[in-house]
Amino acid sequence: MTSHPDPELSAHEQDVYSWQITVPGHGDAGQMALKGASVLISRVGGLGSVVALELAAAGVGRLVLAHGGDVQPSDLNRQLLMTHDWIGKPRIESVERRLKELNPRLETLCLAENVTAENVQGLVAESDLIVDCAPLFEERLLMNREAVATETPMVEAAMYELQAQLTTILPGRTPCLACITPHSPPAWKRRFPVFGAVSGSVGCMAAMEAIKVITGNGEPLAGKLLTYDLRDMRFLTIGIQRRPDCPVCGSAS
Amino acid sequence: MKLTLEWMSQLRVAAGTALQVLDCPDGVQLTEALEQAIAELPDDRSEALRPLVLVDGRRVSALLVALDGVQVLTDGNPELRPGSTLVLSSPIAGG
Ligand SMILES: [Zn+2]
Repeated sequence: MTSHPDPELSAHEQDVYSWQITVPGHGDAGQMALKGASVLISRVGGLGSVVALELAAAGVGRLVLAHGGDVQPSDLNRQLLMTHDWIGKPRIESVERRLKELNPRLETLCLAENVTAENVQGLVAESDLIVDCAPLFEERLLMNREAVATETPMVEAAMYELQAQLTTILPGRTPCLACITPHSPPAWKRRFPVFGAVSGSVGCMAAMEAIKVITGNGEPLAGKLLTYDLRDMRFLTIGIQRRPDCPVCGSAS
Repeated sequence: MKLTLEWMSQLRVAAGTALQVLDCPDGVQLTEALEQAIAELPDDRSEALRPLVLVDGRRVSALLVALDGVQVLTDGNPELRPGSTLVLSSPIAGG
């Protein structure tokens, strides 16, 4: 993954990332891989804010960010890139400003829209990896279809109440999102109960999955779904399977 | 024979419990065990949970089912072994 034109590390970057360059298996090569990577995050809300913060902090070179609408008071319990002073103004502006405060070297491609059938191809074409943080299954399934078509890895993160789930889709090797959820489930409601600490926990883990896929260091949750409940701290990992009749990655697709 | 069910996500909230232990007839199949589990819950819980799990006696296609740690696809209805653990989750998303 080398979409960034200048993956060399400056002396300043060596300093900024010195705590992680010494992680076994990471080193300068891993750090240059992060600098050379372009990651799509959609949306940049409760989950995506934390994914974006962690990837910006880790030194990913470029983030492609899609999120529509203006900052609402009800965003502020979990959407850590939104600020009180930005209520009523575009969320994506708050996101970009906060990320650049943390990492001014970060390159961003920001879109003040959520993922749609019209923009998904262009967004994925700009990206080496996708982190799906969207609340609507229509958006998630659009990104999944494009990820499979372009063989772009996609980290899937989700949350509910005090619970969260995470898996990493490696097209051609693992089940895709449609193998797990073939259709938009009728019982799903856009607004659901959740704490910011829950979206933050799975956002951090999703960022780590992205870092592992980009650098090749560690084992991502490929073909496995991590599911956990912070109410009783039960963590389970489930082996997931490709559906032979999957409308996206199955043999008939 | 004894089985353990673990409800996740919206199912956990609807069921009002994370874990349910079932005493099932030998040779019970997955969908029948789910029918029994739902029937054994208090009426209001059963009513809330049923449409998230079963429609017209078939498992909802978006339901994630794992038997002893491995996903069972929607068209599978395996016979369960004594001591098996089922984990069930409805789909959840970001936001
Ligand atoms: Zn699939």
